[in-house]
Amino acid sequence: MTKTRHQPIDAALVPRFAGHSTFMRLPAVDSAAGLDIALVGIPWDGGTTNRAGARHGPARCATSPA
Amino acid sequence: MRRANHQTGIAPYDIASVADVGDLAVQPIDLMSALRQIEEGIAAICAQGARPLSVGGDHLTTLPVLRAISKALGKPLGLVQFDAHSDTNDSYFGDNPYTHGTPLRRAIEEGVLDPARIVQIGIRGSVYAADEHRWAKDQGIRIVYIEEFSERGPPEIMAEVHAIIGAGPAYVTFDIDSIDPSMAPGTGTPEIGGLTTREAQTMLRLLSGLNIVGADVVEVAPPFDLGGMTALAGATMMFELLCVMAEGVGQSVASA
Repeated sequence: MTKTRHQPIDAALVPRFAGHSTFMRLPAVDSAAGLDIALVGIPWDGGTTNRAGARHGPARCATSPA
Repeated sequence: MRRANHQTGIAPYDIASVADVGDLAVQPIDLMSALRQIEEGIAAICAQGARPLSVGGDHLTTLPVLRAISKALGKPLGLVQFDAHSDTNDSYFGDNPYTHGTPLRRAIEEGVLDPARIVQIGIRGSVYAADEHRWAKDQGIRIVYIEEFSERGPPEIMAEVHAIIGAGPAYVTFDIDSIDPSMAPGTGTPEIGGLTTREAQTMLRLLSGLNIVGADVVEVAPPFDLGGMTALAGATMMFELLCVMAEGVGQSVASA
């Protein structure tokens, strides 16, 4: 099977602050079929014993201008 | 958004198929159900032949991820852990065995990790007893405290990591609290005296050559962040992990 080499949205064409928020500005797909590496958020902090809030980590990392 | 690593030259999107499969829909109320949901979600990714690179979430999320990958491969995994805390405690608040301070202990007890192939780097967190890490050391875990890291430096430490982990399957878990809170304040359990972001990047690049079957960045807690700097550090470490994972994918394709 030929695999698709997904590329991030080019920030020189669509500004970094515009468009949908995804990890690394890669396409959002429904399943990991055909992927070598699946980027996935796990927004859960139910095991936290001190300051909670890591449930918001995935969303904020996806909007970060890394 | 970076497409290539300026230092290593790796262009991950040219050598591996990578995309965003979204967030796992984990309900926030019941702990045991949440652990099951996470394991099932990661198992589905593994079943489709992909390696997961996840973003937490607190460090307990790593336990069900390790369970799923270990089950898929049918063997215990090695682990490289960047963290301020060992996360090998037994229980909290009475007899609660599942918290973000216990995932490593449970993973070893369950046989999903091989303790002789675990290295923890950056450890410095507050301990409740002087011998708190005795159990971990007795299992064979190599703990590199921040002071030793500081004295010996990345190349020497990472050479030892390669010797310990070997060629077998390895997971990399990056707790953002391994970084100093002056650079990553947005986290649940900050500890001063940590890695710089530049040291962390150097360390992750030196993972090159390991057989990385999955990785995560955990404990980014935006409510405590300042100007998004912790999310920036987390997302950038995710990119560094992606680069070494993609390099591994490229090499396994080339040797197939």
